[in-house]
Amino acid sequence: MQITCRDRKQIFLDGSAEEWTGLELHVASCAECAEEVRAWKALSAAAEELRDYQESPALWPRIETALVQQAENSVIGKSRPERLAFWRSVPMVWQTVMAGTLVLLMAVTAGYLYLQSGPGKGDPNNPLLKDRKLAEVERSERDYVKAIDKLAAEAKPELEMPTSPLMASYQEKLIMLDSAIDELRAEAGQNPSNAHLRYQLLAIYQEKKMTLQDVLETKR
Amino acid sequence: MKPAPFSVLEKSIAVFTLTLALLAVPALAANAAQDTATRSFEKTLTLGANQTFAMEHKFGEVRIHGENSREVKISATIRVQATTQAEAEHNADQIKIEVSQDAEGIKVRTAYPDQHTWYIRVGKGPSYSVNYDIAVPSDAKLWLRNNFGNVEVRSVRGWADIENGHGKLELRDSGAAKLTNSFGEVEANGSDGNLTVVNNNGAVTVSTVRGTLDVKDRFAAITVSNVQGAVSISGGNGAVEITDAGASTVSNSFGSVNARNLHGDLTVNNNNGAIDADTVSGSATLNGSFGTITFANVTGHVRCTSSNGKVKGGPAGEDVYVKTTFGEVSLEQVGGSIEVEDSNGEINVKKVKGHAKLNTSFGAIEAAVIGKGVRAITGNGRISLSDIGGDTFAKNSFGGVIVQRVSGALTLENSNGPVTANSVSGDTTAKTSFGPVTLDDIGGSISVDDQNGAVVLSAARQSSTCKNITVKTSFSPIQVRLPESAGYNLSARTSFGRINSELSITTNGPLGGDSINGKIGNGGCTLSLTNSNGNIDILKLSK
Repeated sequence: MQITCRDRKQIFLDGSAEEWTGLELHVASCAECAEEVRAWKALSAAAEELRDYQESPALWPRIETALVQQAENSVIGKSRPERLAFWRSVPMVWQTVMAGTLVLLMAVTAGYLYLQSGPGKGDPNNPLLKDRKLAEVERSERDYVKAIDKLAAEAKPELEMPTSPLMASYQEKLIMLDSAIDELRAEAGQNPSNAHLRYQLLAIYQEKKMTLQDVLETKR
Repeated sequence: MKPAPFSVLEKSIAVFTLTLALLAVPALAANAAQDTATRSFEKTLTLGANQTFAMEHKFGEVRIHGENSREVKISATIRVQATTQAEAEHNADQIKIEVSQDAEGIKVRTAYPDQHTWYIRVGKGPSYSVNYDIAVPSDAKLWLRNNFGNVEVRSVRGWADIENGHGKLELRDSGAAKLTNSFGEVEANGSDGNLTVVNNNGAVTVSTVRGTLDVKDRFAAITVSNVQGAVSISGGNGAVEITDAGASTVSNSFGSVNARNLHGDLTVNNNNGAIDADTVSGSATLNGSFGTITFANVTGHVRCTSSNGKVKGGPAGEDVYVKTTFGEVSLEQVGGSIEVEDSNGEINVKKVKGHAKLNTSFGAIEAAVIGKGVRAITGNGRISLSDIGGDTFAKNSFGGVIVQRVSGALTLENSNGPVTANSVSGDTTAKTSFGPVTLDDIGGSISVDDQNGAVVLSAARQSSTCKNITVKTSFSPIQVRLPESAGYNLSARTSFGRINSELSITTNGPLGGDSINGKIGNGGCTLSLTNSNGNIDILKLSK
């Protein structure tokens, strides 16, 4: 078989064994083609080394199972967007109406829960505070303590060294109020929801705050 | 493939569900610790006459009411709040009401379990309260100790001894009683016997007491009304108010004292607070400082001592004595005499039947319509006296003196200020310097001793008889007006001035120079006019 330099590219792509034999004979006398054939063979060898594909024996069974499952899903149920897709066919007006109804229902439910758990349903004469009310009282107590601490820091110089009978009187009153606060706090620790104890404690806190304000007013 | 966006409805559902969850969690949590157990206690016993119902309690209300029966009916409501119903009921069962009876009477005690043995727990323990409603015989004696709760006692007329703490104490329609409280209000209405109230840091209100009343309180107001017996009040740091009461004694500080309609004497000692007394059918002793003292309609005498406070009073039936500093004194319509000692304060008195002794410094004195004379002394203030019915003495320095219409002798001493007097029936003596002296319509003798001040005087217009006149001054003129009919023995002398007379003078011996001696009319009374560096004018008195 007569092979020339023009035929070599065709042989590289899909040459037959005979054609490759003819090319090898031609290369022996053609330096240009010899170099090209050598480079082609080197490239083919490198490409062969890079290829590492092994077909898994379980691949096709998995693909088959998945296809079957997908077919079943398409009958029993759909994905979230597909499940709710029919709402999108509902007119926007009706969607808005239903959303409003839900908001109303939510408000009614929230109100019911509030009334169930809040002081409104409780007996106003009940001497024991429900937890919600107790939390309010405790929050108020904390607020008073914060305010008192701030005022006490300001009034400290006047009260430590009273310079007038009035200031000495305030000092005496504050000592007495502190004693009452300690007593009430101790009792409230053992009887936390007793309404009388908690309101009495609040009242004493309030009086202490006002007394400290009077001290500072006198100072000015 | 990119998922489709949420619709409005889907979003609403999501928000609704989330909100429900958020609301439900705290609500359910709150309800979890709110189970309450309520247990009732009832017991009925019989209390003998003169026996005592005694009770010890805390953490709850006590209502005791007298009934027309010998029975004691005890009703109690025990409430416990805990995490579970079972726990609440268990703890309610642990609270015992102990009732015992012996020869002295009936005793009731609320026994709470030892709080440390309830549970070992994390978080809040159970809470509890016991409220009582008790009927007792209306003549029962009562002994009650309560804490952390209100007490109300009605229509129990036996002797009562009640102590409470941290709660209101209310007593109505009782007999004699002693009430003690702290950090809570005391209110008593309708007591047939003597009443004693001791409170601390709580207001006291008492009304309608047939016996005596004794109140001690600190740091709160005291209000008392309609007490037939004597009242004794010791307060502090709060206002005191008494209305319609017997003889009253009040001690207070840093608060006002207000007393009305007292049928007896009133004594008030108040520091740093005002005193106001109105309508006292006895005497009033009012001592204060740093506050105004006011009194009105006091039948007896009044004695006020104050410092740094104003005093205003009247009418008063008897003598009034006022001593104060740095405060104005104003008195009106006093049935007796008055004496005022002030410093650095103005004195103003009107319509005093007796004598007025007025003394101040650095303040003006004004007195009008004083029945039995005035003695007024000040420095650095004006003195103004009018319509004085007795001998009058006024002394001043660095201020003017004006006196009008005096039925008696008048003595004026001043320095560095003018002196003016008119319509004086008695002898008049005026002494000053660096100020003019003006005396008009003087019925008695006149003696003026001035320096560096003009002297202008006239004798009484209506008098037909003469009175001795002696005037001395310098560096200023002397002007004397005399009735034409009167006779004087004239002795006038001046230097560097002239002597002029509208009245005829009979004289003998040498004339001229700076003196003249002679007779006006037929002579009789002394007319001695001495000046230096000033003129002397003797003028006719126009009628």
